[in-house]
Amino acid sequence: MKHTKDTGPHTESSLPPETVQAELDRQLFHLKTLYDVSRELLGLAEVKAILKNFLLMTMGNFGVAEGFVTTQDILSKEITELVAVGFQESDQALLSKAASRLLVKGQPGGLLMRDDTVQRLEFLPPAVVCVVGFCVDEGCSGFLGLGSKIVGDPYGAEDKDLLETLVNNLVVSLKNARVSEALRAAYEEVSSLNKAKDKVINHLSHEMKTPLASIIGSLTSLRRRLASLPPEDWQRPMERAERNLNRLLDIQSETEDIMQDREYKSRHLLSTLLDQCADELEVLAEEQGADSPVVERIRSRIDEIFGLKEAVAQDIVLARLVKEKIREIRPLFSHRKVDVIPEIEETKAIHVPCEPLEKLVTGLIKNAIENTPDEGKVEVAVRNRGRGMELVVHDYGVGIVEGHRRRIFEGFYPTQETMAYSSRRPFDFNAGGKGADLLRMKISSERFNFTFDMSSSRCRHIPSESDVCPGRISTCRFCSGTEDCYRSGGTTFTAFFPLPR
Amino acid sequence: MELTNEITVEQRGPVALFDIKGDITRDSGLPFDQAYGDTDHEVATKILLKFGESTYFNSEGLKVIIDLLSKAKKNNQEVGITGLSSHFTKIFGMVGIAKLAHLFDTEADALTQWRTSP
Repeated sequence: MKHTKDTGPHTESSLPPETVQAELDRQLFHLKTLYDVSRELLGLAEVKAILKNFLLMTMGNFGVAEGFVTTQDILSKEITELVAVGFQESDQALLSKAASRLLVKGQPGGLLMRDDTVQRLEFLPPAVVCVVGFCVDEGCSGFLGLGSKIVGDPYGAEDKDLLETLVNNLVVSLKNARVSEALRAAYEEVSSLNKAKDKVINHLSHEMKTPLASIIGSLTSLRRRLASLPPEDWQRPMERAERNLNRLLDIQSETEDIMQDREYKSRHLLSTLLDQCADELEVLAEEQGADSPVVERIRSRIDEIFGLKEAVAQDIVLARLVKEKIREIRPLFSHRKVDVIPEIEETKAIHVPCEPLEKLVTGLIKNAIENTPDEGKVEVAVRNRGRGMELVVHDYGVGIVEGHRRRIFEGFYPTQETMAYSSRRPFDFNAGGKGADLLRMKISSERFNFTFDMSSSRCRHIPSESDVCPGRISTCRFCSGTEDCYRSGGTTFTAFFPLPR
Repeated sequence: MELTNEITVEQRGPVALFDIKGDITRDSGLPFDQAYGDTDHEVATKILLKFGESTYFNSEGLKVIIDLLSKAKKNNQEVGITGLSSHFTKIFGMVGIAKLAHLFDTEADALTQWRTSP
């Protein structure tokens, strides 16, 4: 066995403690430098401030009296920022020209120039002995240049490592600052456009008032003069003109509310659209030469289906009406084995037209029964809630497939496979319908100021629209009892009626 | 880290004593410039910078000291530094400041050495 000579605490391969200590001190100093730079740059958002602080810190750490840092736009090659410290004035001018002749493209980070390269760059001030190029992003690059150390030592390998690390920190800060500046600019542009838009809307709204008033006056005058003529010759177009004029007035009024920051409602969206469609159909029929009775029939049918006729509001106690309706329609679903369970609280009166409300209550219960298998149940609740009351019809039926839920109020949208669809008797399971009922209810909610919403969960055993419920819980292979069915799916329609103020 | 510096200047013969309170950071440039500007450079051929032992120098603070040394050199003034912690004494050595300024253990040492030096 070979023995090495024991030389005490040091073997021949170990460094003297002074050297180890010096190396530790140096690394600690480098860590301190990195800490200082990172901490200072973290709080800065402006490019110029970042560059200046970075330069001063770097110069302080390396003990350098002259230094510069510059950034430039890669596309235009124009200098965007130049910070120089410790140079003579003549050298400053040289720096500006020099920077534009240097361009860094490529990966972000630092690129330390070799000493011989720096020496060949005659356009740099002679004081500059160390240059690091960096690329921030595809639009921005820059250079850091440092003079000699005041102690006169050259830049060693460790110095260069530290420099590249410091420059990487700089690049990160510059990236963030550029993103912040871009966001700020975009925000200012959007604000400016927004102001311009507000001005335009304000102007339009203001300018519409006078012409509209003039048209109203003219139509009134025209109506008086035409009164002596047969109404079938002029009344329909006149009413159409008046309706559309009222729509314009509504728009003008809503615009004014918006501009004055008042709360406004997009009133009667569905019923407005329906009105417009009915008008268009009327015009089309007239253009195609349809006679007045035909046009009249078209209009009446649309009004009848969607309840566009003016209805007179009255005080109605919702609880009483719902109880009456359930009693009234019970015989109609006596052939079904569906339990309709009322949970009715006493409520105050609401002020709505009676007919649409009756249609709503009847329609919801009918819809619930038609989607619930025999031996199932439907709960009909009337409850006071907040400053109003709600009608909730909850069925423990098949539920609506997710893809159909959004479109359920569009009208004429069958929620079952078209091939399986057939018009059975009202209240039969899966009787189906044209879907206009729900659209009508939605339109009513707009016109008579109540909200109308739906939530649904499709029975997990029949997830798609082509899957069929057997129609009776005891014949369902997935359910061992009624509770299984109750837990598997269902739909809830909720209508909320605020109390009159 | 303290953010501001308080520098009082006391003339002791040819020595301008800068008693410096606070950490040395980017904000120290102005107080140092003002203090140096208030000094009579004809009289003060020596400048002694006296720091507290707990004084912290960040990287920009080192640059501030370097700038002061550069100005003093231009005015043919000697600069001494006292009161540094051992940690910053090392750092001053690494950065090169120790080659441009004398590092003294105490104020008394500085004044004695300068009195006895030619």
